Amino acid sequence: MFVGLIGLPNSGKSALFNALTGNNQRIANFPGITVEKRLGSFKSDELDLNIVDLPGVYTLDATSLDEKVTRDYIFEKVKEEQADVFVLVVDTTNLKKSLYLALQLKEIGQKFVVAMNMYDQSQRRGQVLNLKKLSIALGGVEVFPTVAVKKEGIGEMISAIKIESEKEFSPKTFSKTYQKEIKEPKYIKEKFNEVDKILAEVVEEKISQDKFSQKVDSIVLHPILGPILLIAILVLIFQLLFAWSDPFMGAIEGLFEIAGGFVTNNLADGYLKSLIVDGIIAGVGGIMIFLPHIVFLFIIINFLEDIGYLGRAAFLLDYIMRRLGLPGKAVVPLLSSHACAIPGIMSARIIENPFQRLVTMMISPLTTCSARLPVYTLLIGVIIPDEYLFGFLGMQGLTLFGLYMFGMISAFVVAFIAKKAFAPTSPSFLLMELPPYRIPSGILILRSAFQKGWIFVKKAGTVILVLSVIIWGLVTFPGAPADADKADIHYSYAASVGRTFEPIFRPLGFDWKITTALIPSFAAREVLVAAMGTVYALDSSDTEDEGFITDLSQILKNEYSLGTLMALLIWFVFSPQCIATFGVLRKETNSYKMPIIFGAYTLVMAYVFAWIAKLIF
Amino acid sequence: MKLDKVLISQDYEVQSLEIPELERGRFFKLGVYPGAIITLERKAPIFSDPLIFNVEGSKIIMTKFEASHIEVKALES
Repeated sequence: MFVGLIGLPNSGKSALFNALTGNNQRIANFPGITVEKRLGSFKSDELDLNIVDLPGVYTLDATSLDEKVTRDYIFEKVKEEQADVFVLVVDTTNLKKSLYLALQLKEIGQKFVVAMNMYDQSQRRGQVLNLKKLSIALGGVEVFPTVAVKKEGIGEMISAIKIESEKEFSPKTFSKTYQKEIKEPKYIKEKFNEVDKILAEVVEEKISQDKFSQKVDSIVLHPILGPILLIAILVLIFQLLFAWSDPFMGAIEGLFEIAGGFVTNNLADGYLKSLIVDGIIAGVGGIMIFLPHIVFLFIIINFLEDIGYLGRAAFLLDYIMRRLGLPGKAVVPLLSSHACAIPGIMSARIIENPFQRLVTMMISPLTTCSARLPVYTLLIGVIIPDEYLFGFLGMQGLTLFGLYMFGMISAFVVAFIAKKAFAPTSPSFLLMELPPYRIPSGILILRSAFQKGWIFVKKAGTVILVLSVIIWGLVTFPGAPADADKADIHYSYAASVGRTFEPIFRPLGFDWKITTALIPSFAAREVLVAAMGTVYALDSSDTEDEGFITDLSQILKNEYSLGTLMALLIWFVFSPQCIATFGVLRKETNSYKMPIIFGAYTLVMAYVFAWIAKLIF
Repeated sequence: MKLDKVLISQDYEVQSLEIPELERGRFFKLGVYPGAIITLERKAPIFSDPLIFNVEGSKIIMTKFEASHIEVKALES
């Protein structure tokens, strides 16, 4: 039997889904779109349930992509997995809008039961309800209290589903214009009046004000304390993201080095060994390395969202971000992209508006992620003298700061241009609900964060792995001749490509050695340092070795003009964007077009600004 | 009067929404429909925009731009 969980956003629907299904759940996408579909199962002696957790809706009038998914599901446009019974999850502390949805379910003749969730909170705030009367008002459906986060009321829910499913199904005929009717002010007013009538019957003791939320808001949204707290929290997110991820990334790197070493020692030299070590193991490692950032960022975001702070942060930042055509929430992806663009792009899911979400995903990678640092450090070391302005302002540090700002400002400028050029012409009218503060569930937060990580590996992983192997092929084949006197890469397809494109890059001062080294750095930017070393036949076994960096710096200084090095530095603000970015864009936009547009515009910007840098210096 | 000019903590009744039909739905479903009682609760720091309203027992955020398209009538308190 199929059961659909339906309810308003923040009604505790997901918590109930988790309480019911435990570990028996998986995530899929609804066909053709990027809206997540959560499926789970529950088995007992009597019942065998397949449960679908539908995206939150207020009414059956769908005004967003998420809501359309739920509406189409209810109106049986998804034939397989059609629910036999719906569980309407109600936030008992805020009944009005949930009852509106209940009346609509009744109206279209769906079988449903009503889970009065967060019942404990409602009682604590003095609300007394007559659930029998509520059941009668809704046409005799089963109504029962639940506290999803404490797993209370699950047994009652199961029996209610059983009772409801055994009732005779009498599908109602509703007019074909129903979808239009429910948009009319007249209908809406009537329905809300009907809800008021039911509430007058059912509510025996009214709920007291949510004093806790009021109190917290008087601090969190305070004219002075509010912004200070916001900045503190944003800085803390950024710090935590680095501090927590670092040891895990080190461990993952170590593991893959061990694996690579094991294969190196146990396989004969040749292309197979090279493919496994430098292609596949390096490629898989290059996917896994993102997991700590993804998981930790989503733990933080889920936490802030569940306690109710994310909406407040969006409220505080809305005015500034709106100038760029972005919502306040866009700060989260933009900020986290400074650690890594992959979780940043994934976190753009918190933005409801599809256009704004797309723009946020397309600009986030322009901010300075940590993979650019090794390249920046190397080039700054070569170009900028280690001197101090006014005796205390380090020139090198100042340049690094300038690059961060340049990335950030570029992202803002692109967002602004996108708004002017591509945003829907009519002004869009937005409003959102601010949820009350709640105590979050640790298990829910962790589970959802790990699911995000797993989806990344599954969905973006293939694209990344394929591209890694292609790059490996370009660098490896056709291989050096027997009498080769230079490093292997000189004889590779990568070098041929580098030589072919060299004329285009001549205005920037890039020679074929640079253009060749740029190719493997698509795999990951920090690879450029090692690749330059390889091109110049340095022993690059340890790129963090002081001697290696000094040697490479010396070569760069002798070989290239200041203008060229500056151009290369500026080039790296925009490009190459790593293949993981393309993979995750492909997954999150569900298209190949967007990653291609993204690749093209970042390349053009890289070229233009590098050329300007070359002209100046 | 328009909703962006209302006083904090005063009750108003929504009269009409001058918002295109396509985008009106979201306002209605969140409780901002003709006849609903709406109260301005708070303005954002520094810029006094956006605004937090209380309607039908929940908090709603909208900017002055949206609010200026909603006609309301003050209720006797």
